[in-house]
Amino acid sequence: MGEIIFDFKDELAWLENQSLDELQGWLGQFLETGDSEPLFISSKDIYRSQIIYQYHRGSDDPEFKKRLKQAIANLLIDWRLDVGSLEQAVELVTLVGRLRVTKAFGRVLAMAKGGTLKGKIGAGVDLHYQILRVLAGFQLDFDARAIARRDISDPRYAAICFYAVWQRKKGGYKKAVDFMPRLLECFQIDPTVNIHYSLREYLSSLGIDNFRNLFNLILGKLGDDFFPTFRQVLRDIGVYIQPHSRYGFIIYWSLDPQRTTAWEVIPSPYANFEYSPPNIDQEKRIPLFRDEIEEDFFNPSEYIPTFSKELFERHGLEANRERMISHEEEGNAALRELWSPEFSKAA
Amino acid sequence: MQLADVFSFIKQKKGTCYLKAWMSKCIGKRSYNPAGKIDIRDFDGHPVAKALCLNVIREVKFENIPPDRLKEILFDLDNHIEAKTTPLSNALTQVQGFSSGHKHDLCQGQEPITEDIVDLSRVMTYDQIMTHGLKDGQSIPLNELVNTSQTIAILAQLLNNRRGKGHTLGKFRTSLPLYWCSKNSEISGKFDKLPIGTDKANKVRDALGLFNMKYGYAVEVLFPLVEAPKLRTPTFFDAGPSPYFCTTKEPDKWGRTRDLRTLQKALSEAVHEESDWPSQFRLEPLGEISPPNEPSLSDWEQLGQELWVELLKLSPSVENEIVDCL
Repeated sequence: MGEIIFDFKDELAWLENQSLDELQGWLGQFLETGDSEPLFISSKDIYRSQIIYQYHRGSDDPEFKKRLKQAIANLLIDWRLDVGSLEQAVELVTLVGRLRVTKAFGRVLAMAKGGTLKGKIGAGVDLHYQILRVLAGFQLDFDARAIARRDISDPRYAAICFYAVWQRKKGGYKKAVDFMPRLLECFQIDPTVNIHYSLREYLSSLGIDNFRNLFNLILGKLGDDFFPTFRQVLRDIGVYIQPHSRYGFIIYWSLDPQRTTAWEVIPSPYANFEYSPPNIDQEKRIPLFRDEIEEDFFNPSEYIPTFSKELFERHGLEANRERMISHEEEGNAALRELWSPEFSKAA
Repeated sequence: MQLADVFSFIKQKKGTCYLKAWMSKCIGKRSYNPAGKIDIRDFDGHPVAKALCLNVIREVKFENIPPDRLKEILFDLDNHIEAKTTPLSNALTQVQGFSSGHKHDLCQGQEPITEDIVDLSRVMTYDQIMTHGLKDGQSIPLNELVNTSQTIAILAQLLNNRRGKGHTLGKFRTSLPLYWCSKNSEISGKFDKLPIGTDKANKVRDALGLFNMKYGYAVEVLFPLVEAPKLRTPTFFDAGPSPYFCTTKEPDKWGRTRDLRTLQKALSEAVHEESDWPSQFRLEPLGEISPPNEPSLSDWEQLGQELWVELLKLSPSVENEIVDCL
């Protein structure tokens, strides 16, 4: 009878002692069937890829980590839809992504290219989606970007493809604006498409200043067909866009619940646009901060008096105070006007 | 139900009973003690295997699953053991993977009493939520999952804003198509006063017996009972099988977790079938976890003794049944 190995440290020691072939054999069997002999891994409530991830994280042996990654790559290269299970493929792809198994990148790309794995579910996850999540995490080459551009029109994969087109590329933020109509169209067709997190990540990475700079470009790309949807989705993720008859657009930016939020007033040059106000020549920017006014934040009459010297000093903005104060009257008027019933309800 | 009934049922259907042989292997040989009562410590089986086997016997005696259904499940287990009977297999690994291979045998326990319960809770790592469970998580590249209380707060805010709008957030499941949950009142009563951090996260993890949760950021998912599918008393078969699982027969028909530090019964637990994420829920960060201290073999031996004594109290005849059958 085989020995019983039943302790994380012993299990890890056993795995670290396996050659590449042995490790690959064991891993393939475990991911396929859950059989981890001679280790006793009782997977009561955790995914198999997570268990392997924990061994990788718990090990101090760089050679073992290298062998483990190689074994994962080999198994994925050998995997075929007609032979291996979808659950095994999903777990392998998950590991390739989480551990950045670069040797498997070519294989993942090939799996994505064919598109034959779309809608194939293993361990509750769409395999093609998991593949796109891996590609989006690597520096995308031309082929991978082409796949992202192809699949962004498919509602099932639109969110991750949008992520892929703007991530870590020169000009990526601006390029992503071109794809926004496609992303929003998917959401219009099927409101259960989860584009929120993807847009949130984009905006969060973009930052309010870049958003301000790109806003009119976005407006032009989206037009009347998509801007209302854009506004709706952004409201869900904490960015409120309020068209305003005199100030263009007033933006309430609250993407991160633990960080300072700010108002921005963005003038719009699109005079014939449905939401467009008259042009405003001079810059009107009214940032406010909300540190200690949690309770009454959504009540503008409480909020406006915090336009104080102390507040500016606390945020190191004393130098800008004069300029900001000069707009105080206009800012206050804008905020009062902003408080439409629709906005209050959304808040 | 008698063990002999189960064995004869399996024999009638296929001739050889591998389950019986497996039980003998788990418990081992008895040291010579002609006069004394049977004591599980007199057997030389591996302490963890004994604990596993006693859980199967307890399922038979406690009847958390209707007897006819249980016989069928044990017949499936017998087939599983037969398929895994090789020269290299030991008693523990022979039952491994049973649950994933026999998904129709899951969630077959009784309905626990749920009066006075408002919220249920489930503790898992952020990784688990983001790699498989939550659709929103699937918008993030796999290598860019960052576990901090801040990312969890962002996730919570995002999901909050979208709740009730007809969005499908994803599947509420684990590697098996079922979900484990506890009473939120028990967790909050015991741990709410602790500050968020590793100490709190480890204590909650240990109390819930989540032995496979060794690294990552622990999160408590709270959701109202009314949104959960029908709850069931968890059984040995829902658990993997796992020796950390404890087959119980409590008046409230809830299962009990086993604390990883003491191996004692700790908190109430139940299972339900895979479902969509509830529309109403909260995410509470607990903290970064670190690997648990695993029990020693003597702890497992002690546990076997406690399981045995409890079993004898509820079913005195089991002593003779073991002698007759094994």
